[in-house]
Amino acid sequence: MKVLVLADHDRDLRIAHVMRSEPSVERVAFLGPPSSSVIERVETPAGFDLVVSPGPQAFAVAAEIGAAALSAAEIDVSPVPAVVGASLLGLGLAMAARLESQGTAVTRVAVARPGPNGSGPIKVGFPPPVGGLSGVELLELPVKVVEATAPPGWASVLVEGNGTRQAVVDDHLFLSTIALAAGIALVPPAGIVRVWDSPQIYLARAEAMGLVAAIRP
Amino acid sequence: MKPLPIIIAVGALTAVFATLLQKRIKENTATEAWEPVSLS
Repeated sequence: MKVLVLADHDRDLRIAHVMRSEPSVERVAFLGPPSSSVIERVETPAGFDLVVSPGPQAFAVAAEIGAAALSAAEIDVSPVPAVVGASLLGLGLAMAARLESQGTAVTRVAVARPGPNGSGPIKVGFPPPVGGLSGVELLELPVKVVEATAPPGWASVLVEGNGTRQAVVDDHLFLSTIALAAGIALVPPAGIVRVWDSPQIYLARAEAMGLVAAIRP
Repeated sequence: MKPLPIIIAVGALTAVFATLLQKRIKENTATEAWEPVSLS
């Protein structure tokens, strides 16, 4: 598979670095302003099978060259085969879907990421070093989701179910990159796949890329 | 007001604030028994 990463910032190059270690990937390049002595930089998107971006730009570029798209963004209609929702929230929903498939009723998903200082009325106990935070509930999702502001540099995803709590906590950039890159395991021949549609495959690939989870019974 | 009641009142308030602060610190720095788990 030939993978093109749309890189607006230097931090987006980390996605390309992770993709290079994928056995199914034969070529990785990026399109955008950053410079790299390791990753190939291209001027046009032609010749790639998969276009990856943290934002929704991947869909338009993939449509332009007839490739598939992988994005952290969530959309309902895509002009090309696409994996969507490959984000921290998507990771949490995939962990929740996995627990549900094992018969555990999930009561809450919580996501903490750095951002403008803010808190809400809902308390969440993330693993150390993120720890206890107060957040707000996101609406219109299939499960109760709380979003909170993590200390600078950190991110965490927590899933609470009957009798169990599972979580990941790590460097924000690393965790976001893994959440996006692991979606490569789900690239469909047609249609849209949300990362929580196939949680086992997605989470297995995320773990192979370095994701480490923890449980608190 | 005499000095003794003032000292008692200040002492009581200090104890209440110390307890609340301790609780808050405990909530934010709890060393929970998290164990590694595989998701695959």
